[in-house]
Amino acid sequence: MGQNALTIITRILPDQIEALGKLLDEIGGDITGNSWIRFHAIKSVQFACWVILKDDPNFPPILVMESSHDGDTESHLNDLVTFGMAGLNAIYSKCEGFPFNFATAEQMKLYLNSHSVSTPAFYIGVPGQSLPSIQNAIDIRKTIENFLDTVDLTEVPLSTVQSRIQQHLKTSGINPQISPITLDQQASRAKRNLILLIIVLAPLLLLLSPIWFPLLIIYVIVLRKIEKADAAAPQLPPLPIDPRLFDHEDIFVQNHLTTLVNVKPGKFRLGTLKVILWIISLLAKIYFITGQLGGIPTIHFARWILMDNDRRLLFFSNYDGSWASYLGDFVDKANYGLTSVWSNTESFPPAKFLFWGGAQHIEEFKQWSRQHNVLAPVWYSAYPDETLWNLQKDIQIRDTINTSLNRAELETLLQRF
Amino acid sequence: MLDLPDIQGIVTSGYAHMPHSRYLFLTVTNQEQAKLWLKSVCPHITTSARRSPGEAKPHFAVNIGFTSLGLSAIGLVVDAVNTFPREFLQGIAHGERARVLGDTEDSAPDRWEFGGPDTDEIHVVLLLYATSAAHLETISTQVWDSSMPNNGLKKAYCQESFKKGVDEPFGFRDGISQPAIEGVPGKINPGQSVLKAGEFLLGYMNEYGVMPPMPTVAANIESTAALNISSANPTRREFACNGTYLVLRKLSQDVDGFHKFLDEQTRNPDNTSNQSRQTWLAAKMVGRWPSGAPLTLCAASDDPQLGVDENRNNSFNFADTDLEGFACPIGSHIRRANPRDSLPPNPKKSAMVSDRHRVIRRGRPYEAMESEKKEQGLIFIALNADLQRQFEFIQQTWINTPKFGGLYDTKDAISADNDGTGVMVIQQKPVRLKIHGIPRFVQVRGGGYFFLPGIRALRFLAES
Ligand code: HEM
Repeated sequence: MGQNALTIITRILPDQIEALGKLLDEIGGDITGNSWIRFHAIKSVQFACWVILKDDPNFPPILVMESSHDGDTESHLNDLVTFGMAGLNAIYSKCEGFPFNFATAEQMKLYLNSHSVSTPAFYIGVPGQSLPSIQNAIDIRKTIENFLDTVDLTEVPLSTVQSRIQQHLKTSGINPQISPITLDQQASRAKRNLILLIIVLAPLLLLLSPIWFPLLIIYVIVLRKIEKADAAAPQLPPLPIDPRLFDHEDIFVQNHLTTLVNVKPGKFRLGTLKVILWIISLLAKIYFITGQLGGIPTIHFARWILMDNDRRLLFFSNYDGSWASYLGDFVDKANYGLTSVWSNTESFPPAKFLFWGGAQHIEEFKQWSRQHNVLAPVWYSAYPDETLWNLQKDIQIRDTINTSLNRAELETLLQRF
Repeated sequence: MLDLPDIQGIVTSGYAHMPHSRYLFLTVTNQEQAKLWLKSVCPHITTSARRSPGEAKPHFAVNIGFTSLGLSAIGLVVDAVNTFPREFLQGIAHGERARVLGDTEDSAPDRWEFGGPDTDEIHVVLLLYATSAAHLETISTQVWDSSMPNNGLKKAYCQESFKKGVDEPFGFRDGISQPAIEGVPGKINPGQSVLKAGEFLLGYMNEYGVMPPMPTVAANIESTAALNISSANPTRREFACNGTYLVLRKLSQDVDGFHKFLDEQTRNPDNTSNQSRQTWLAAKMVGRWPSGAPLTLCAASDDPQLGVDENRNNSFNFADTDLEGFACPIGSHIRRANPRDSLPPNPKKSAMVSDRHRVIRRGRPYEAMESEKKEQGLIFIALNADLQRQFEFIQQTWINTPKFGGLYDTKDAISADNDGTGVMVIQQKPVRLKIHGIPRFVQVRGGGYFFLPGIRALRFLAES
């Protein structure tokens, strides 16, 4: 079962902003124990958050909900209304266009559906792994881990180590639910897709080069002119940093990032941004399917949303480790992609030829990011203490423990713990 | 080109031939007097200028740093102070920094002996080094003495350190692996990274190939210091040029607890102590043997000749021969503090990333008797151009993280914020060995984030 993105955008009733903030703080303050939304009971949600966007006076106050869920929207919405009706009603009664005192399940689904927006680019860390599958993998690894902690295997011949583990799993009553597509298969799929893409694109590009090449030259000349003008333009005053961001970070191993920025004015920038997002979206579907978004190995889910008539770009990411390491990863491993997206937005450190410069100015880039980070008062992860790297190991352990392995494979497997 | 005479000496030298040192923490009580005092010490500040041939090695060295409060207290205008980065402005004891660094429980700033919220505000640190105890006294009385009349400063704390040998208190050779600064003359040892000057000094290109932001002052402030006009903004001058940030942390080491723990974990079947196994376990925690010999190069037992040999003791990487961590465990102190080429996605990228998170370490051990008990540890000192990206990153993202290198739940056994439930994983065949119940062997007792100005900037501070 594949994972999908749901994004719901609603306008907040101006006199309800404060009340909504309080409510979200209350829900987020006790994310698994609150009585408004019983997240743990929702078996289709892997990550979810609500954010309030209200600081820019040029835009109306807005509430955005994102969830990364298993299966189709319909069944996910069903889950949401089943386990979160009280919360959803309390939240959306503070938003525009909600004509109910207490919406019924059907009314709520209709409301949410009608406010859901498309996600131009969506990245998944472990594609094809539903929440039950992920939880099964975690359970299996932990069970084996506990077993290894209690027995001494130093004198046991390697050939019997595997059968002892299998035996232990059996007696513990946990069955490995093998992935429909293993991580190795996913990796070869990525390779194959890339080759296919090149085979299709290369002759096309070659054939059409008399058309696009001159166009590209013109594009680059215009781009560079605009970039130089941008770099010379007076800088916008720095935005204040929300100090609450820091209290919400590093509570778990995973963290959440919401970044909201204004797209630079003009069709040129917007057009460029849309093309780049389209390319990222394509690559996310066919190539970034092995747990690396342009080389960054710590992202569980990420998405980009264009909102307010394409005037603002919203980015959501659920990642492992500290904010500083995440931003560092971005620059170390995905600098070109990153700069090509955000150099089309305001206040980003100056880029050269769309891909160069930009985020390479690491300190300015981090400041820019902090200033555009928005607090997510409600943030839920179904497995907040697992890194993507952990998950990948867990899945590999689960998928191979009951298969026949040669000596080298078995040794590799045992080193994953 | 590096402007060596404008750079404080500690950036380019650890003053190895001066075993005596004193760290004096001062509070400014009168700005005008303190400025006059600063003017009088400027000529004493040791710089990085090379000695001329035949010139004798000096008997002492003096360096000076300021906290952000200290810069204000000595009279740097507020719009200039505010051009410094957030971490420095907050200071090491700020709640946000404490969380990042894991300074909690017994290591929390409100329990510190100095530099915390409940102790005297620290403005200035004087770093004094000397070849003998007598020379240390001489230089101390020359530079700052509480008996000096009206000097506008009072003592907040004083820390002595005497370097007996090359070992830190747990018994391991320290100060082996250091990055070198491109453009500083000197011998480069095999395996030593040579990094762009911008990693350790402001005003130079860094490892990202860019000039980092520069704290500045208004250009119209009168001074003979001749600070450069900022290339980005002609109305400002580059105040921080040739300066750097110095992290100082008093780290108390529970040496008895450390050895007791090693003993308990390695007893023979008949419950007698196993000395060689204890050394083995400690070496697995550190990643080097007591002599300094890296486990990656000699996994089975210590090799003291290798340990002392500068040409070999740091000449190794992990990816080729030790990616799985069978020799030097993935979670060991040196592998976390500098993962070299061992992290994904590939060795080349990993080495590049590691080089973007290095510090120059200038720490020295300390020792004192406290109510009949020997209290000892490390006055940890690190120099870097970006506190967040270098020092804090190493502490937070590598040392304190339970997930380092794909592991599940293990922090650095030596210098992380363990809480007694810590786990250490030692990779071996067929399956790893797990050591449970790791306590916090190292507690933080005080510290500060200091800015070490260039020599001209010091004069600027004293004059303007
Ligand atoms: C009392 C606490 C500590 C002790 C006993 C200790 C001990 C050691 C020892 C024995 C070495 C190996 C010798 C060498 O390469 O110089 C070492 C290396 C190192 N330590 Fe520590 N250390 C402590 C705290 C820290 C802290 C807090 C940090 C940084 C945040 C740190 C960063 C490093 C680095 C960067 C290296 C060099 C790694 C390499 O390049 O291979 N240490 N330490």
